[in-house]
Amino acid sequence: MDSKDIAQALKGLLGEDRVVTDEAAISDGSRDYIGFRQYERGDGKCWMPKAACIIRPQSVQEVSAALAWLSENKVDAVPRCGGSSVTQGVEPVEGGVIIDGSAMNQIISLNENDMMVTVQCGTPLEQLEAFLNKSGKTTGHFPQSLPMAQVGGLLATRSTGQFSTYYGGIEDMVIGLEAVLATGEIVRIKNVPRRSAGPDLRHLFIGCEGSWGFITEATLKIFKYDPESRWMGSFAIKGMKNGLQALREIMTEGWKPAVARLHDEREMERDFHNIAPEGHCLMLFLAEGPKPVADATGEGIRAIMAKHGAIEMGPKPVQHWLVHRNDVCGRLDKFDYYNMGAIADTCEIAAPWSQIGEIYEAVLQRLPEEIPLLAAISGHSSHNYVQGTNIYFSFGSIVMHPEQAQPAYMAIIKVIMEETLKRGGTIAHHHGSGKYRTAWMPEEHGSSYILLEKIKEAFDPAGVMNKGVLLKK
Amino acid sequence: MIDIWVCFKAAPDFDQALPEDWNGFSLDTDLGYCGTPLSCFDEAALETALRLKEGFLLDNKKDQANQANQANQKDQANQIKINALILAPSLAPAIVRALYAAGFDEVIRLDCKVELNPLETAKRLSNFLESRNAHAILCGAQAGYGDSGLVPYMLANALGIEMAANAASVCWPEIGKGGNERLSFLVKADGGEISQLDAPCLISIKNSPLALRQSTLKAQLGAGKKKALIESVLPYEERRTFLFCQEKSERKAQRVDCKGIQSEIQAEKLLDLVEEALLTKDAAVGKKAETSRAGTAVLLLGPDPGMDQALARVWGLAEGCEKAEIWAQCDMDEALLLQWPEGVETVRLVDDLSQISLNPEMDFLVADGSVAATKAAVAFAMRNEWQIESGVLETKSVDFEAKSEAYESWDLKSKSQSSGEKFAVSRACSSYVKLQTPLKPKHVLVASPQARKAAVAETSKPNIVNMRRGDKKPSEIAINTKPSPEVLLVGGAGLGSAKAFESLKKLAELMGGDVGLTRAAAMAGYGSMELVIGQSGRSASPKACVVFGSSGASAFMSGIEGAGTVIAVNISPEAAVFDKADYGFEADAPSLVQTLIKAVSRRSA
Repeated sequence: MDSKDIAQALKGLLGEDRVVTDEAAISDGSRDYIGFRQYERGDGKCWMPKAACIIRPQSVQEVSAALAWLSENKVDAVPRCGGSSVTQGVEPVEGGVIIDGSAMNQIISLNENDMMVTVQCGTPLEQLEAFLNKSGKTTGHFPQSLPMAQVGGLLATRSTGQFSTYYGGIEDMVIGLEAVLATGEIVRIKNVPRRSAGPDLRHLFIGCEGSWGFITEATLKIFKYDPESRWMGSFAIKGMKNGLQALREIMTEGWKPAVARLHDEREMERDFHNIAPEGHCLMLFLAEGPKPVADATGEGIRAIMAKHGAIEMGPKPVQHWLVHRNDVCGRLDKFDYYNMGAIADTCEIAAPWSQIGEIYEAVLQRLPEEIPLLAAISGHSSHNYVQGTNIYFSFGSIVMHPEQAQPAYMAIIKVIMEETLKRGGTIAHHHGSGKYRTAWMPEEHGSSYILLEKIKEAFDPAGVMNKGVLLKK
Repeated sequence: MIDIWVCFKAAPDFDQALPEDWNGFSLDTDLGYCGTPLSCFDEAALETALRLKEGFLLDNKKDQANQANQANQKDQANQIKINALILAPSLAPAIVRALYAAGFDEVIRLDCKVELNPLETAKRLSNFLESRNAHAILCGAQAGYGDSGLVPYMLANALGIEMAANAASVCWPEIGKGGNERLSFLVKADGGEISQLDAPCLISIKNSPLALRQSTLKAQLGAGKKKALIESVLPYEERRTFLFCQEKSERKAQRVDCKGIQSEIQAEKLLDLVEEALLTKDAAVGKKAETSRAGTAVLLLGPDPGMDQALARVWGLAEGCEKAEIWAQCDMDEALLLQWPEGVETVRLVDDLSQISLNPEMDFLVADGSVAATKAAVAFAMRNEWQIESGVLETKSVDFEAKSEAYESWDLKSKSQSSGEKFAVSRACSSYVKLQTPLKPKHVLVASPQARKAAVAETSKPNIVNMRRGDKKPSEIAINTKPSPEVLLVGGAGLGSAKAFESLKKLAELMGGDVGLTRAAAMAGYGSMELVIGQSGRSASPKACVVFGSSGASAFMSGIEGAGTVIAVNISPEAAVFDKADYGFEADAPSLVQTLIKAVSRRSA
């Protein structure tokens, strides 16, 4: 079937106004923010595969009808909501269909007694937060993509937010959900606080990245919103490994700050403009909860940081970070790095405490040796667990021509992936695997990779959904 | 040897200051948490210098390849030198490293605690540079939003060299680069105008897309051993008082009661609000502004971006003076179209404001912040030893009253009487000033711009004296940007269909305004992606912006941040857009568009 036929058939199925064939809209709807694509766009290139059309269903029934048809006719489909992907996760397949859930954007119900809110997949997180804040509540989920992200995509990528050390990742926040399988069946998982009635089926969809189902609705936990009770503090500390040790001690002692960030010296210089003394890393903390709890957490952190020789810098660097932490969203389409003649991006991995420092140092040592045009490499920890933490690498490389952008980018990713896998870490902490990490997925999952394959076979027998994501074949 | 200098700053960005620090802001407020980044203007200036060096070396290579006599070849690298100069008490090693790694030959820091005194800053820089025989000095136009932007003007004046401002790019002309030929630079201004400046000259870089290039880590490691040279300069003599206000959009929609109200009445109310937005408003509502301003004010109006905006900018400070005369860089046609305020006796039309000779017997000089007017004001102030102030003023209704109070308390006449000092003021505004007293134009919302012009022509005119020598049209003079539309109508996904957007386009046409779309609406196929307003599209600063059926996502709202008045129409009372607009109509957007079409047609008839 060619693109015209596909669009025509879908118009007949869903209605004219549900199908978009405008080329510019398709190009915009295919946009992914992975670094090399941003470089290409800066150079005026559009090298993404071209979809046949975008469909914008407005109900779960329409999603079901669309997916059933797509499956039956073996037409590739890529789900999409807010489009804040940085992993090629929302790039279409050539000639396939983009299923855009952003028209399904209603807040369905708020249940303050049971502390849950039910929303459609296209509900912008920013709006959900604003809505909840009015009644003194919050989702507790603050990814950097907050100004752009929609709930469906947040679940599909197994996202996490800046306050995750206290509230958890999205997987800890979902109570129930509704999804449509690739073959069109609608499934609902009910809203209960916990159950022991088989494996947790929610986790079949949370993190599936649209590979075998389209999430249409979610019920999320809500929490009391009390920013007045926050404790904030920042510190300068010598040595990244020293900082990681301090973080580990904070977590293993039982403290649970909402924000616990460790930025290496390079990020302190570049991203925080030298606010700490030269040669120091910067640490930012924020504690939430009832005021006595937040204050006690703050005191606990201060004591541990003092033990590690840190210099107190007060709350203002954290307050400043709070205000500006998502400013990057406003710059995504401005081609800043292209204008500097570089590609730049981030890559987040995670590992247990015993390995995370080794991974960090190995990457920082190996990259300059292997990438002659490397312009920057740095890292920070921002999501902490009793067992370990993540490292969010930021990297940049000089690129002269757009043809060089993707190879230069992937050469850096290869080093990060290899050094992480070598030491038992995970290659993706919270952005999702997307398409750019798929090559390493078999090694990431080892013997459990077969589980992904089996689930895919069962739920998407025609193999139409999000080709190239999660699974190599 | 060609010697190019770039003056840059590494200062706290005041825009990054926390709201609580703005409330009680003083020069002693600790902004250490903001860091000391390079401004985008300085980055552009630094990168421009690097490209000039590269361009020179590349062209010389070609020239030398063509030369028959190889014996006369000189070492290319010694023919041009680019230097970075900063006046600061310290400079982060990371910045020094980045500059050397990028290709600067010298980084020099004049060791001094910098006060917010552009004249003193310019003096110190000029004292250093006057013995350096610089062929070109590049400056970033300003530090950040709110910076005076006066240092480049003052530095050029102090050094007695030609200056180009608002430069977007600088390059070598085809001839005149070396040897015995006169050295010169081609400067392209923000609005596209190209001029050629002979060395020595100063070029102030403003809206350039250039950013300081990234260097490889290897280059940075190599450069890490090089340090900035440090020279001492005299400390600043005085610390001055400044007025600081930060404008933040704190729109909170006043809901217009639409319950049980007929659609036709809703439409009339909305049109009234649009008209009100297009008129200049009395900022001191309910309060008569009392001033004891100086006797005679002279106002300088430059040609960019639009004369009526320039006039609005300066009149707020000058009104209340006993006498006012205006020097304007425009032609008679434009002068006749403007709404001149009452109290202006004489308007002199000139070709070039920077060439006029002003009588220092006046009490008060105000320039509108355009390049030409600022040059003239700076030259006058430095020649006559007047203090010169500059500031950026925006107008959001909440803060303007507070700021106008601050300006009211800045009583210039009594200041000049007590201190014997006189003041010149240069003000740049990025939005529309609400005047102390309204201009009372006969301005109605009509179908065509021509009819609107006819209505304006009825207002009284001062004595307009045409002192222009040539027949230069304003289009030949640097016009920075296309002026924002006065009225912008934006359709969101709540419009519901492409057909509804077509109706919106018709309404915009009837209102003589522009039309746009949110990204969600464009993605839904309602209209072209080229019409998208917001982060992924364009920005606009209309006097009145009416948003139909948008939820108010921040990615869209950032595109109309500069709008004077925002009116939101949305059927959902919970829509977030109501928290970000000035007025809110809880109404069905597509229906209201239809009703508005009829209402506007009725008003025009």
